[in-house]
Amino acid sequence: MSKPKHWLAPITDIFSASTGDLRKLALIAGEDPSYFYIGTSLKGTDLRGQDLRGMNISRAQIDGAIIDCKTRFDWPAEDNTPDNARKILEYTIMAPNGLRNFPQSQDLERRGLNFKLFDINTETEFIETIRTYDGPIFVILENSTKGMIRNYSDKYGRDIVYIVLKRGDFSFLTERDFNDATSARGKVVVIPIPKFLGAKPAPVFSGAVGDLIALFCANWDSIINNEHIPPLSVFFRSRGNGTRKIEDAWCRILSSVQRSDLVGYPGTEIVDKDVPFNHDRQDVSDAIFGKLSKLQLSMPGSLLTRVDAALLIDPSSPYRNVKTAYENSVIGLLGFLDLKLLRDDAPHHLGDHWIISGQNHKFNLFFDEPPPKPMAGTTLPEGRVPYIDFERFHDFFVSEEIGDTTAVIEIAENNRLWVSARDFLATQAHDLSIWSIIAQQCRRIGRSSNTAARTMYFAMLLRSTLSSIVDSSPDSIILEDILSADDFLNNYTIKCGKFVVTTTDVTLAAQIYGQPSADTIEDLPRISIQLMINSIGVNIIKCRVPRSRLG
Amino acid sequence: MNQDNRKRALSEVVSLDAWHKGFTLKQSTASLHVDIAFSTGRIGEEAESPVRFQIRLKQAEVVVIVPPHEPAKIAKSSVRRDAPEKEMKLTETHRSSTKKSIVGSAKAKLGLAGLIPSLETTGKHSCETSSDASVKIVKNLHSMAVKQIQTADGDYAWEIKPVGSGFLDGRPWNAKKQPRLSFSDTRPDRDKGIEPSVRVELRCRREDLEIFDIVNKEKIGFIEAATNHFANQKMAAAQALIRTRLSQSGLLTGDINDPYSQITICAIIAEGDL
Repeated sequence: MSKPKHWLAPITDIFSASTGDLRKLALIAGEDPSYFYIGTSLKGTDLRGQDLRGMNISRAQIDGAIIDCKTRFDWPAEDNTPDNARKILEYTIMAPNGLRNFPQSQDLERRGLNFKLFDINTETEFIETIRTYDGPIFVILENSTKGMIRNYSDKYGRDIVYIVLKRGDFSFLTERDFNDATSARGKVVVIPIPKFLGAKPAPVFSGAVGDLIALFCANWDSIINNEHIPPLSVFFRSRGNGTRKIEDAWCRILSSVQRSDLVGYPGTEIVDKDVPFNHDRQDVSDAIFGKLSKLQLSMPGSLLTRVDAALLIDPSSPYRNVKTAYENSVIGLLGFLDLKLLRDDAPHHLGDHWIISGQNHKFNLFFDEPPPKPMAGTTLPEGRVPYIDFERFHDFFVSEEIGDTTAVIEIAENNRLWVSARDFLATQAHDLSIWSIIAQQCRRIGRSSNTAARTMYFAMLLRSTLSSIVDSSPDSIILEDILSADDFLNNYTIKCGKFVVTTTDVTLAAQIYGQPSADTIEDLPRISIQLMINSIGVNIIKCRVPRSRLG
Repeated sequence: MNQDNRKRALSEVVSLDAWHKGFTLKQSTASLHVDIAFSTGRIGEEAESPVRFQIRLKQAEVVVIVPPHEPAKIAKSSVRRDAPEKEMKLTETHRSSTKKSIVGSAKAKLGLAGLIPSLETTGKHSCETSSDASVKIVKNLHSMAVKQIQTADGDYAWEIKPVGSGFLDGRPWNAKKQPRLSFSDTRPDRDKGIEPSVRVELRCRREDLEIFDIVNKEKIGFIEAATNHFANQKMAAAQALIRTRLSQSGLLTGDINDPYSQITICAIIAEGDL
């Protein structure tokens, strides 16, 4: 006689079954579906398309289950309209190539979005689902190829938002992208993915994509049928920092838009429906991008803390003044910040320029200078920190395309100060000086992950500051000794700590610490300093050198 | 053996004991004491079991049954009809505000009586006055609420529901101090024949069995569950299987197709103590 099976043995068959159909699962367990589920909550189960008639399932049991209008119960189907289904299932995502970074979908769950994800293997199920489902549907494409969107659109035949992730610098929207988009049903939204992510998978569900999905889900009907949203648009969104949060967010967007070569194209600003909108007031967004059309949408809660500015750009318009678009944006911003501006037509060896002036200082702004292209293998100089007199800078070269390494090399070797639009944000109109620009630049470079560039920038800044101190303390003399050593850059690293930003100054803590190498015999000291930068200059508030060095 | 395992599973969630004073020539009536303790059972540790899971009760009923031909009679006045002493306090608050939206809600809960009226008001207008009224019930807190009822067959029963949590845990009453009822021995001659016996049963419905934390022992890890499209349906089916099998092992009264038919989790005969 064979040993009787364990009373729960059929559970193994349930777990290894290749179906999610409740009726089939009951039969697999060897039980009668008509009573099998009595008393079991079906919360969280996907019951779309399932016929549950005759299975003794009550309405209370399906609370929280995912259903659609094809789910059949013992009660009449009218109670089970797509409207009801839609409340339960917020949206559907199709990612034909699968998502390499599936765990990121948790980010959407954290936002409280309920969704169903498909890939190319479950495409049939996807087509089946969207046939009856009229809620938000997204298809995420990583680098679309020719005709791809058109093919999907023909196959799916529904209003869908196609999210196309494009890597790297823009200028890659080709005619076929536009043709594809205009022939598709629904909208195509391109999201630029920073190039520096390299071969790493794009952050599909977090960041901009997650924000876009959350925003579009909350406003699906007004977006999908909105004629003001072009068939193809590029989505930008940002969060700001510091005392001028909104301005900072828009400057970040300007930077991304410029790097995507899309400044000057018409755009639509997304504004919160619940915030009263003042038509007379000039917004920083209008100052930077010209008059933007406004799209009032309701902001889902998860976005309120994450996004300070959002913009859709229509890259199809032929009306665009490429050459001066960026210049106009920056000039618009400076005007918004109440800085005195003057177009100087006097001949200058560097070409046309603007003059920006504060109470005591005047600076030339150059926009036409082509930014130096980083060459492969460009490295920062090693050894000695060059002495730079920052007060000598009177020319600003404005660009968004300067990397940290290039910016530092340009200061050290060519005596050129490259600034971005964000660098002007710390400036108060009345006390414009080189230091208000440097204060803002410190924040950017201090956060840089490029250690060599960061170290060199702050070392130059400190040398310049120490040389101007009349009454030197023993600590600052030692610091100056260390900074002017021939091998400083080989042996030391500067790390920045916390930044405290107020309307007038930026305070930061930094540490200079030695990296012991084979050449160094003695232990290198670790020096803590605290700097305060305002429009007057850089102050070393604190400088702590280990006692042993004081000797 | 197989059936035993299932019984053991059910006995893990509750232990039941009942006793009364023995009848003598002088003593013709006795109080019936019922002791119940609820807990959370952890099932499936044995090697053959493909899963491990936990089980507890959401609510239950204790029924005292005097079989038809037993020489016993229940004294109606002795049946413990716990009407918990409670004190009610009404607090009313009136608020006026010029905020953009006001959400007011008023809820009154009378858990012990099983009556749960609930009122919710939501307003979304600028400049609005809202008033809230709430009923506060002040009483001695018990983790379980007991209500005396009579079953369809006319037997005396006590319905036990959790208060505060969603499941039963601990003892609903003090068995020694709070006997459920008294009954008398109706034999004409108490020297002859057998003492009357009274049965005590603990019953619940299928939905009252809460089965959770099901772990597939063969493939431990949630990764499998997270990537499996049908994971939720399969979990529901696994739960349904456990529930169905357990109710088949307990005595299912009524039609299996009737969602309200009850399972007898355990039944004992009250013993006469000397």
